[in-house]
Amino acid sequence: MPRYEISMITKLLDRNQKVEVLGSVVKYLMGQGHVVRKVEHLGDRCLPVKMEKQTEGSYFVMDTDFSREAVVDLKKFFSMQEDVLRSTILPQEMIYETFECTGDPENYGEKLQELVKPKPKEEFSININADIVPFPL
Amino acid sequence: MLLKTLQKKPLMMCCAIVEKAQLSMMTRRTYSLQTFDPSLDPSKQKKAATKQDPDEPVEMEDPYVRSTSLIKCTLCGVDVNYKNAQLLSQFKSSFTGVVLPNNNVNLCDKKYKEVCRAITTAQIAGYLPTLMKEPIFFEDPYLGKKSNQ
Repeated sequence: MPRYEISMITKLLDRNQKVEVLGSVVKYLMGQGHVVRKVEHLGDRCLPVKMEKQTEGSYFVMDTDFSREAVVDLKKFFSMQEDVLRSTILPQEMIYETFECTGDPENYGEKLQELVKPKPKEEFSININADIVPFPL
Repeated sequence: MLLKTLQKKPLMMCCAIVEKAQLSMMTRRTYSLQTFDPSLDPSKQKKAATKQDPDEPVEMEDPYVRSTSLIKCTLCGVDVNYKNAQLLSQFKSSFTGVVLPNNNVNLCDKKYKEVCRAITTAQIAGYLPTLMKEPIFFEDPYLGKKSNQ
């Protein structure tokens, strides 16, 4: 099954309330048959955007595995929760793919090599159709 | 021509002609301004050059090297993620909140695409604001050129 990453933003919660919210979310995921590998808590901070008239919140990140058909049902589940303000589901191939860095800020190497290649000269040739005779005797 | 003149003219005149020729050789105009001096021998000039002359070239670094060849991509070897807001907000302008173009920032084409995609996902997920740059991050180092600040 492909791997997904879920990021959850909730209201400011006490330590006991965080345990209740995380417990209910993970129990639902395990009950559906999905795999939960890691649950992280990033901290509390002032929100950059006003979400449902709230200015402070706490952040969570979960590392899970589930099938592609279950994405729509999970979005409905997170919207039904009262404490959860915003949730996003992203595939990990999109997030953790890395490109090899060339080192130069101006990547002229590949473009120059294409320009320096010698182009083949077009030979001049007259198209003569021997079948057609324009001015027969 | 000289033999004919010698036969016709007396001896006294012949001597005068010879002395004139010798005088003309002595007073001939010299086309070279330099005269031969023993002090200006090239063998002696090399010995005088061992002392430090101010007219000689001085060893130093090449000042005409292109400055961009020494600059490297700032994110070479650094992983970019949508969750760290401080690193991504360095590539936004503090006045409008718009992503800076690649002319002002020294980044590869590949890393610049990663940063643009990470900024849009962070704005949707709720990690970054869209229309501004957070005032906590105003004191971060500026990565663009000074003329376009």
